[in-house]
Amino acid sequence: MITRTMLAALGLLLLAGCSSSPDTASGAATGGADAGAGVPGAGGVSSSALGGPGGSVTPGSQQDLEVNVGDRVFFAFDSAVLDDAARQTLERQATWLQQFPSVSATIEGHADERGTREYNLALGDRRATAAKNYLVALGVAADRLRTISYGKERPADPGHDETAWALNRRAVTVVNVTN
Amino acid sequence: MSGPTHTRRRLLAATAGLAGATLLAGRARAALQLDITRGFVEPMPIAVSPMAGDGPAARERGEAIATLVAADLDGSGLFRTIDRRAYIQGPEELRGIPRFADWRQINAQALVTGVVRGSDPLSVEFRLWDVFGGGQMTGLRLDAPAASWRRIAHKIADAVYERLTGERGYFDTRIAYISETGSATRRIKRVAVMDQDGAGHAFLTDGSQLVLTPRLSPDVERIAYMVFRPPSPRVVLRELASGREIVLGEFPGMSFAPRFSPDGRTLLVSLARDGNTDLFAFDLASRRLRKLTDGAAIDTSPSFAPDGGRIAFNSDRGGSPQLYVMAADGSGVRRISFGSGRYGEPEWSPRGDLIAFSKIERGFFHIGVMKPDGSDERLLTRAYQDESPTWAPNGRVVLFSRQDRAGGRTRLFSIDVTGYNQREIPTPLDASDPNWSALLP
Amino acid sequence: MRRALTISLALHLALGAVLTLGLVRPRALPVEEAVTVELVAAPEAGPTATAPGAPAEAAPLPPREAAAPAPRPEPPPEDPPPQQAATPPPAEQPPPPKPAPPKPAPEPQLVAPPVRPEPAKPPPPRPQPAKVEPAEEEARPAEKPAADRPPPPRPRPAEPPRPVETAARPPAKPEPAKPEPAKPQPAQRQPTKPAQEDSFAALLRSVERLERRVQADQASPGRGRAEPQAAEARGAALRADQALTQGEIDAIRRQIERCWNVPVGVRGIETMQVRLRIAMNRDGSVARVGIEDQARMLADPAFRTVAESAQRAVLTCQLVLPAEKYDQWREMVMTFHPKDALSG
Repeated sequence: MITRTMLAALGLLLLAGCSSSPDTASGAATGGADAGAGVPGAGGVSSSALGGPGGSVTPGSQQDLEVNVGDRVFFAFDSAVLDDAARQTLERQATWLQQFPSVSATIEGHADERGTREYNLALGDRRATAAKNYLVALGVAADRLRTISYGKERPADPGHDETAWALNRRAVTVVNVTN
Repeated sequence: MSGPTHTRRRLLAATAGLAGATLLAGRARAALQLDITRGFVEPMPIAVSPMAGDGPAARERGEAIATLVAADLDGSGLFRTIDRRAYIQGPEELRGIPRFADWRQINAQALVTGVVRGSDPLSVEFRLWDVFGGGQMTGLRLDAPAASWRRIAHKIADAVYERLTGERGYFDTRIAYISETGSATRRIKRVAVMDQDGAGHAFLTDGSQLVLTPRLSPDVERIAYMVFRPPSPRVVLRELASGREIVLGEFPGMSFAPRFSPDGRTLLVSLARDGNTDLFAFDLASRRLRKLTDGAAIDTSPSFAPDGGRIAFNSDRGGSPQLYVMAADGSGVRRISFGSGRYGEPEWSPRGDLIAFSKIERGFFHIGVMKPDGSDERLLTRAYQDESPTWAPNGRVVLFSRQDRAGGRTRLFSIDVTGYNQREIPTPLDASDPNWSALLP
Repeated sequence: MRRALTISLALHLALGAVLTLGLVRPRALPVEEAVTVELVAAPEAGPTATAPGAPAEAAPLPPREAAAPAPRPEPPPEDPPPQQAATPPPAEQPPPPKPAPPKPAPEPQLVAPPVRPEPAKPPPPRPQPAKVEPAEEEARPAEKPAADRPPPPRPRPAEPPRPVETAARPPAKPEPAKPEPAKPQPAQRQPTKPAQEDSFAALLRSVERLERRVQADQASPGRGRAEPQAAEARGAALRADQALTQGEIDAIRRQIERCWNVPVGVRGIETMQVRLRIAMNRDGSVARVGIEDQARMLADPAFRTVAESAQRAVLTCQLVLPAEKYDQWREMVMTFHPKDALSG
């Protein structure tokens, strides 16, 4: 079902999305307010090396996922609800996973630092599960996906403002190393 | 004042009073009645004399013990030990009854004296004197191996504290916590334990695996904590003495937030499965797991009441993280937090009268206390990130971790439940997730 | 509850012993509790001594803290029984090592030697005072019966036996200034006496006033001693039944309040009240202070803490009191209200 055309279209979209700014989250940041912050802008893909579709990246690899598909989705404060951007990313992931049936992945759930340690472990689990469930709903076999929560222990952005926190409220799909 | 003596004195007083009254030509005189409704609050000035000893080694030990006792008492914020340079009587004279006038002169309201005998094992005798009343208040003899001399000093401080405040002390205790270092995105964390004053520090894990939230068993012989190890992050249990890990079996899902019951027989754990976290009670003897909460909400961070009958916990079943109390079997859940903000990490005081918690409101973290029914909420601190409150075993002091500003260090602080006397507990590296032990057996 | 009963019973027995055997010297425990605490250090004594900064290397470490005692002979409950309470060896504990001897601790001798027995407790001559000007609230006329009285001493400063009068108090707690308003009153008063009285009496008064002022000026204690006594005695007798003014009572109360270090944080303190019965010496020192509710003292450590804080307030406070009204304040009953003190 995924034709080359679609792939090319996706690639173009990717390029379009990336060209707006290297750090997509900054656009949507609402400075300082913590009562429910904004979600990263459309595209929701964190910065990473730009490679052309099918460039030097090995298909079905972690890098492929990060570069060409988008390995992560973001959440609103204290929420595990998937917004449109998140769903689109996950749809791409599902597609990609169908493409590489031998790939299994772990979805990591994370939270920002503005919560208590244990509650955030639970919240991270909720987010990881939300992403996983959506992928399963899209047809990915459940036994290919594991979840793990890191709570607030592994922030992607070490900063201490809403920009950073928005980047840390995420679910990241990580290809399992098979060996 | 001892009962019989005081009674005797009162009898004498009564007799004298009667005699005096009759002498005064039948003029009846009523005692002047006064109501005292004001006072002040200040640490009680006391003197802690270096202890006497036979020989230089014993005397040196006696000085060290006195120094540690004074540090403990000063640290509580309830006492102010007077500089020993002001003491008129020396340790040797104090082997006998003190000359109270000398101590009244420097306004010491209580005096600690002692004698050190033996070298290893040590035998230490101490006495606490009521300076203005003019008598002994308490005395103890403690024997232990020389290497445990600090524990002797802490026990003396506990005895003094208890006699003067009416409450058990908290000085002969340990603190378990997470020692942190490294970059913000990849912290290296290790489980550590130390005396409540920072001495006797030791690491229990090597930092190769992420560890969180250590909890000491009530008998301070075991420690539970969460470790990130395959196949999934889980709670593990270890014996402190041997380091041996006690296998708990496989929990179905990620297990975290371990808590011991007051009798040490149950370990509460939170299990996260399929996006839902619930509280479970794990019986350590039978290895049976019992579910305590249900529903799609996050239920975690539990804390037993000291009588083991109820559990306070953190749940977002109402839409945001709040505090709830239920019976130990999971029934009768009631919400107790109603202020603005998000509540977490309830910790039931060992005294039973309060629940400590952390709260996030308008961008700041606070450590606060409230009564178990949720009333009388009182915030004790406010900072960029204050969390993980834990109680001293006498329910008077709360220890917590603090990051005082964005990007600053994370360190341990303690504060008296009345809000006084906030102070830092020194640790070698950054510190979080503190847990205060019971008084050491 | 049981503990209270046990203690109560022990006390009764002790009291019985005291009464039947005469003055048994109740040996307040030399050392209450001999506690053997077997604290066995961890096998590796070395690392235990490591100061916090040391463990930099991430050695795999076996946990230290070997609280595991090899031999744990008697596990003496190391809780010292409430010393005060009882009789010598607290029955409950199995004290392995016996209490050490030491002479120490004769019970607190709260009875301070009275400074000076009333010199001549003169029969209240009384009468004359009729003349006393209508008592202005002060009612400290001070020089009544001019007739048979040499200049009343009054001028505090000159009286040694009454240290209380002296303004300068060492521990500043009750601030020296306080008593002033009360004391000098009489001196000030005089001048304002309404000229109702008999002119002769008025003349005498003014003479007394003058003499008093002279005496006040004489800073030497020695000189003023003899007369002050006798005169004071007479004066005291005459004024003995003069009640303390509200101002004087307030002054006493304020002094105590300045001396009371309230043990905030004691559990249940808001519901407590402590009543003390105090017997004072003429010089203002405390002869005896007793805490009512001894039963609670023994049973409730929290109450004991608050009660002892009140007791310390009285013992450490060096009260400045109107000497000539000694009879009014020789016995006091003070009720301490921590709840008000802490919320105020």
